[in-house]
Amino acid sequence: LNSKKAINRPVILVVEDEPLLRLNAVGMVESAGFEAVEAADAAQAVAILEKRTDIRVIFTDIDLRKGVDGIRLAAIVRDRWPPIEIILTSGYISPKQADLPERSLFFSKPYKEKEVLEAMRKLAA
Amino acid sequence: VQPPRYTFDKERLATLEAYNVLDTPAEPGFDDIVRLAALICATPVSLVSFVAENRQWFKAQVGFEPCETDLNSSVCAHALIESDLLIIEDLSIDPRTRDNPLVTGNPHIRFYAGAPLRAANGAVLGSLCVIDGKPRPGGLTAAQAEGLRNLARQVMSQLELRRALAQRDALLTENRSAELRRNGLLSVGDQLRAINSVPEATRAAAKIAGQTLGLVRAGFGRVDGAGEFIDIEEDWAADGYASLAGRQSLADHGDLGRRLASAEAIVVEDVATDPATASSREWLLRMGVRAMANLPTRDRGGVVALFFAHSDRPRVWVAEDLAFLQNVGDRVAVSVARTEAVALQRFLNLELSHRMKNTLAMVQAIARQTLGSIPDQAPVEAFDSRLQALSLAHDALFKQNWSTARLGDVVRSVIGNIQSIDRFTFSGPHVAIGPRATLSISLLLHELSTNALKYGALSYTDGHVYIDWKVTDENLTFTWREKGGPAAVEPTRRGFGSRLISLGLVGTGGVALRYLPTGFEGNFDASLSQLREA
Repeated sequence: LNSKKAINRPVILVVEDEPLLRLNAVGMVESAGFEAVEAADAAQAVAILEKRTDIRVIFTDIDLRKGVDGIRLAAIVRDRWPPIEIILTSGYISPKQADLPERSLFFSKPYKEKEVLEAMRKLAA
Repeated sequence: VQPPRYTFDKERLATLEAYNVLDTPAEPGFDDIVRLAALICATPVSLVSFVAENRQWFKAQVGFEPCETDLNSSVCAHALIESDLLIIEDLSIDPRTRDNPLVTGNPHIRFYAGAPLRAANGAVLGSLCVIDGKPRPGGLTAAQAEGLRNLARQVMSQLELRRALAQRDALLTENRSAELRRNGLLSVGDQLRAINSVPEATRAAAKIAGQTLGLVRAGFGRVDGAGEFIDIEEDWAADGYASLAGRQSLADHGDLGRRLASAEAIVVEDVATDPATASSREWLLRMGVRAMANLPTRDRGGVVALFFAHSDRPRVWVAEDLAFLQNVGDRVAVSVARTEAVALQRFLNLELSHRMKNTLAMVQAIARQTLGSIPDQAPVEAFDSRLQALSLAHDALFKQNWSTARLGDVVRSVIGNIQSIDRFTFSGPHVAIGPRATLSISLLLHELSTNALKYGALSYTDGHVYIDWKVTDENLTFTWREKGGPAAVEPTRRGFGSRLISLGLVGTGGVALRYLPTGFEGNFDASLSQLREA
C-alpha cells in the first residue's frame, strides 16, 4: 500500500547548496506529502533530471556556490524540460523579473513555508 | 676690411633678435619709408638694412634686388658705429669700402648715406640708407640729411609698433587660452559630477582636456601594483587616432615605462629628438605622438595614476597647460575613486544583506528541525512569522544603505506580508528612521497585524485597519485603528506578543492601547531623535 502511494506523490527536486537548508527544505516538502529529490548544485540537478521523468517542480536556490547559478539552471530546465515548473529562492534582494524564466515564482529567504508549499501544490496539481 | 667689432656685440644682437623682424615678409610701413628716402635724397636705391651676426637683411628695399648680403658686402655695418649719419661720397676711394664686392663688381655702387637705426636701449640694429651708382661730391644737402635722420626714427617707430602689436596678439591669444582652460575645467567638473561610471567619466574629461589644448589624444590610466602594466581607462582620441584604452605593457617601453611606473612626471616637447623617449620613439611616432605630457596624480595605496596628453606636433608645454592637465587629472582621479567606492559599498551592502538573510534562513531551518516534533506547532509558526518581520526590516534598511529606512516602506512591507495590503489604509509624512527603530517597529507592526488577523478587524471580511502617523515638535505619533471587526477585548494573559507591543516604537514604551466596542486602537509615541538612533 505504501509503495503504491509513493508512486502517486508528485516529485519535487530541491536544489540547495547549504546542507542544513536543503535538509529543512526536503523535510518541508515531504511533510506536505510530496516526494523530494535533492541536489546540491546545478550539475547534480541536471543529472537527476536526465534520469528521472517524474519530476513536476524544481525548487532551487539561486546562489549555488558550485557551477552555474539557479537562474541559469532554471533557464536550462525551461529549455530542456519545458513542462517542469520552477520555483526560485535567494537571500539576495529579489532578482529582476526579466532575469527569471517565464512561469517561474520567486520567494525571498527566509521564505514562508506555507506560501512556498501552497505554490508547490498549485503547480504540481 | 672687417666689419666693426661692434657688429658682433652680444647685447646689440640680442636686441635685434628681440624685435623678431629678420626674415619676415615686406610691410607697407617700411616700404613707404624707403620710397620716401630715395625721393628725398634723389637716389635710385634705398634700403632698411638690419645687420645680423653673419649677414645684413633688408626689411624694405627700392632699386635693389637681393633681400640680404653677407657682411663682406655690407656698408651699413660701418654705419653701426656712427653717432650720426655715415656719408661716403665715393665708395671706390674710401678705405672701408673700396674692396667691397658691390663696389668693385655689380652693381658698382659709388655713393652711400646711412642713418643708424638706434633702439631705445642705445643698441644700433642697422641703418636706413640711400645708395647711388654715381659718386656724389658734397654728399647730402642739409635738408636731405635731416630727412634721412627723421625717416630712420620712423623705421624705429614702425619696429616698436610691430613689436607692441605682436605682444598684444600674444596676450590676446594667451587670454583666450586661459579662458578656454578655465571653461574646460568648469565643464570637467560639471561632467564628473553628473557621471557615475568610470569609463564615461574618464572619456568625458579626456575629451574636454584634448579639445581645450588642441591635442590628438588624452586619457587616464593606473599602473598595476607590480609596475608591469598600465591600465588605461576609456580615453579620447581625435579622428584618425587610435585609442590606447586597455592594458598596456610597461616593459615594452623600457626606461620610459619604468619612469611611468614610478609616478614621475614626463613632459616631452619633441618625441623625435628627446632622449627620454628614445626607447619607444618608433612606437610613439606610429601612434601619432610627437609631444606628450604624463602627469602623475594621487598615489593612493601604492596605486600610481596618471593623466596623459598627446600632441601630433612638437609642443612647448607651458606651465599653464601642465597645471590645467594636472588639475583635470586630479579631478578624474578623485571622481574615479569616489565612483569605485560607491560601487564597492553597494557590493558590500548586497553581500551583507545576502548573508544576513541566509543566516535568518538557517535560524529558521534550525528552529523547524529542533521544534518540528512538538505537537502544538502554533508557537513555531509564530516564531517563523516574527523572523520574517525581522528579515523584512533588513530589506527596508538595505534600500537606504543600512543607515535609515523610510517609515512608509517598513509599514508597507511588514503589513503586506501578513495580509493583503488593501485591508489597510495608511498615510503619514516621510520620516527616516534608524536601524534600531526599523527593527523594533517591524516587530511591533507584525504583532499588531497578526493580532488583527486572529482576533481583530481583519478576522472579519469587511474589517479594515487605519494607520497614520504625524510629526509634531520633534515627536512622532503613530496611530493604529481597527474598524469593522468584533468589539476589542483586553487580553487576560500577557504573552510575548503583548509585551512586544507594550515596548512601543523604540522599546521604551510611549504606548496607549484602547479596547473599544468598535475595535482595537493604539497610539504609539517616540521622539524623532530616538527614532533616528543608529
